Amino acid sequence: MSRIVRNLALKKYEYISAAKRNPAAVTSLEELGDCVSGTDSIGTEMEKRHIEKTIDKFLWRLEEEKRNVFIRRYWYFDSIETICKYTGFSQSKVKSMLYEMRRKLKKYLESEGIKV
Amino acid sequence: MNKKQLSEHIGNMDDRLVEQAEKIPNYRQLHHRQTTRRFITAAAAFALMVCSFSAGALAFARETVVEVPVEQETITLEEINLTLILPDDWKGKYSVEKNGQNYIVYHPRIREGYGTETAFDGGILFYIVCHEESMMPEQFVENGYDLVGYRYLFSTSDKTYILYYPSDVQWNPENPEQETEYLGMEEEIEDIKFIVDNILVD
Repeated sequence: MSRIVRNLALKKYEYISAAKRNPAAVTSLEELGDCVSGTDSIGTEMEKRHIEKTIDKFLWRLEEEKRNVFIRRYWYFDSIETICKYTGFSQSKVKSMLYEMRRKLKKYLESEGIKV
Repeated sequence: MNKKQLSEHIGNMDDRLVEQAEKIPNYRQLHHRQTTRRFITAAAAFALMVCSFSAGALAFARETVVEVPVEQETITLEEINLTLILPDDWKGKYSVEKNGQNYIVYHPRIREGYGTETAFDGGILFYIVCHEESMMPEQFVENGYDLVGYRYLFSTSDKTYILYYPSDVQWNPENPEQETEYLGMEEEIEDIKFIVDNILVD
């Protein structure tokens, strides 16, 4: 159920970002720009599956708390403040954790032969 | 790839990951509790040391130079002057294979039953990997090598040696006996002591 809601929200990204209705979702999407070149890519279903499996592999290899912070931010689109409230971490800690994981994700995708 | 495409891929991640993140604990409180517990344990150990040992014994304990007792179960990697002091109950349960500049420590019987396809799968307890650059622990993390569980061992002027833990299941999942044996040994990896040129590595 939450997956459907998330994907609908993502489909409405332009709508959301234009209207600034969900700033957390907009900024979390903006942050993901660090991991990619920004060019549109048209991949086959098999290539998409490969990327998704690689992301899963990357996440499973992270420490649990880092993994959960990443998922709260980029899957649930939680704001930094909400993540801080859940985890008890400071904003600067959460921001630096996210920055470090985005950097690593990019590196990892590239190491797996994925054009980012 | 653009950010929206990446977000869509993230949206299709493994359900178990999403479920796990649904309710996350307050990690700060958890860390605080663990630190307090560690502090109490350390304080208790210290108190015990003060009561039990003579001043001479205490001074000796501070030394980093160690001599490995003959009867201890050890692996010596002579090329890099590294000695691993293993738990006693590992006797007869492990083998070491050299793969280039790396070393693979594995359980031969579990490896045999695993149907290994590559040198890095099946019965692996840990690897000692040589990186061709000298890195301090912080640089190792900054360079993004800390993707899987690891233990920083030491570095030379041009190399860094790291113990990596395997990230996949290394035993036959249909064999509970193998699972118990492997998990027992896996738990003890943390107890292994490393000695480089007679100096104990933390």
